[in-house]
Amino acid sequence: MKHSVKKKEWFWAYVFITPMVLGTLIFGIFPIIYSFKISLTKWDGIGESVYVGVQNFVNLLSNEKFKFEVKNTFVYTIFYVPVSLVLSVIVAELLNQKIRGKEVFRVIYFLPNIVMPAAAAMIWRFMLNSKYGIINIVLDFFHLPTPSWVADPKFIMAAVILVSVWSAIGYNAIILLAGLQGISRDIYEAAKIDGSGAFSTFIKITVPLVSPTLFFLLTMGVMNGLKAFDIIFMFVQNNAAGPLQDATRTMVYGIYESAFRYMRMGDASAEAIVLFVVIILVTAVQFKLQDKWVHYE
Amino acid sequence: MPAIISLLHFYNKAIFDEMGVAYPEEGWSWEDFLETARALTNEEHYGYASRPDSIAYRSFVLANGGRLETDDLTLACLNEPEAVEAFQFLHDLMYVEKVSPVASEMVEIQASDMFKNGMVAMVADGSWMLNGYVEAMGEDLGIMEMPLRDGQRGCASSGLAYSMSANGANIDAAWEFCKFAGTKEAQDAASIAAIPANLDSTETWVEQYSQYEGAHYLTDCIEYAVSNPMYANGTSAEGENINLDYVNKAWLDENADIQAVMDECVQAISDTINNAG
Repeated sequence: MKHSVKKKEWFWAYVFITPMVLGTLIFGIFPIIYSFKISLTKWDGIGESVYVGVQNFVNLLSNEKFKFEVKNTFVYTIFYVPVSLVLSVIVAELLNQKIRGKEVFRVIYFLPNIVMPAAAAMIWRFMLNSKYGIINIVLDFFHLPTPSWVADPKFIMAAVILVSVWSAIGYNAIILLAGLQGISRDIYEAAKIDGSGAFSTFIKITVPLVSPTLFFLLTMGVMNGLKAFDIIFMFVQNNAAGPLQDATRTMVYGIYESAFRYMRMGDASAEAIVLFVVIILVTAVQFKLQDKWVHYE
Repeated sequence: MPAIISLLHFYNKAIFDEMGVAYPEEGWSWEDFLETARALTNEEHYGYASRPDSIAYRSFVLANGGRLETDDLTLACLNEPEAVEAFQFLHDLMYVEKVSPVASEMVEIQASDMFKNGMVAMVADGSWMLNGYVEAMGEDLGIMEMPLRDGQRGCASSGLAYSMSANGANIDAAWEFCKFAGTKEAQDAASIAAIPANLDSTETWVEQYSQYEGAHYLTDCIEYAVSNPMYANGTSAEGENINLDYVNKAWLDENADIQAVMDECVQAISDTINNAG
């Protein structure tokens, strides 16, 4: 009797997870495995595919555009992740204070996250316009230099990182805020009694205790940084070719271009595999290093 | 081929009237064009938007006697003297004549938007933009052919085509549909979107814009138009992107050496064609 009840429960458990598992298999696992196969062929997406061995990977190494893509992807990630994390911690800490109307501020900081990346990019492009944009009008008021952010290859990556950081802070801060609120008030009181100042309390108590949350955000941030595409695509690629495009094209942009503009699925899959391996390696290193700084209670 | 696309010169009559400049006339030359652009430029607007875009430069290269590619499609020809001269002419409009916004300004606001807003008085654009310009500008819109070089016209054109699989399951039905799509009946129906390739239906399309004196230029240029560049080994799309890369590079640089940039461009396209072969 007891046995059959248990069996029945298991049956329903499988029924409920089947759609999710099927979806992951069909739209996640299968395409990943299949792109390994495509990466060894020359295929235009419709006709016959021809086996070419590792030729697509060799081609990548001699491709000038690929060099730009690797460089830009890493530059973007190296600036985007730390800047957005540091600012998110500061914002989360501020939102955790006992100030009047903090709910309103929480909403304000979270709003960028629910704005579509495409819409955000269009608005920012306008705000960063060299003549009519609000940013340069303010800079000009203080007699600061007013570069043409979106039309100068030297500045466009900085502009892209600015917009990405802006849209990431809200989400990060809300997750961090949950972590901050999980810290018991007793610990802070004990620190206060021991004479710890605000700054050293923050560094020695707050940061270690939210480190699991920070670790989660760091790992996700690095992954998002390495596969940056949507904001960059909307922000730059629609209106640029040549130097501006070279200054901002990322690996995912390269994959998109090979696959959907030139119909070269083999090249695109090869680049996707390279990116896949890079993300796996970087994430593995992060998990290895977490013992050094992440404290689980 | 159910649809074709042509390239034209659009102008804003309101700015011409404001500045007291005569409208361009059929058969106008590059010199007339430059004089007009100079006369239309003041602090509020530029005469012309010299965009780093194949839409504009192809017509100038062709009018100047240049070629886009060799007949066997294996070599791009944009570094030949005629083409380089045309590029230099368009480049000078920005940095020497100062009758056009510079390239970085056109990155920030697209040339077609500048034209709609009255920030530039003239722009070269494709026939597919006509509907948008009509909506934005109404009666102020003027249509003219591209300016001529020593009496020679130049126009690049492209087409949209229905294509069918060579080994599909329903080849006969697909072929029947393609044949139907080319008839006057089907082409008239499609003519709201693009110029129909069936010459009987072309008239239907032009009639939509009969209130514009220059409407016939939309289809006139088809007689002397050259096809957009095609490159061998299926590299047309990539070759076109390489073109844009290098033209943009030259455009963003005030002191660009056009000959050197276009030499690099042609080399890059050749490499791509050969690698794909």
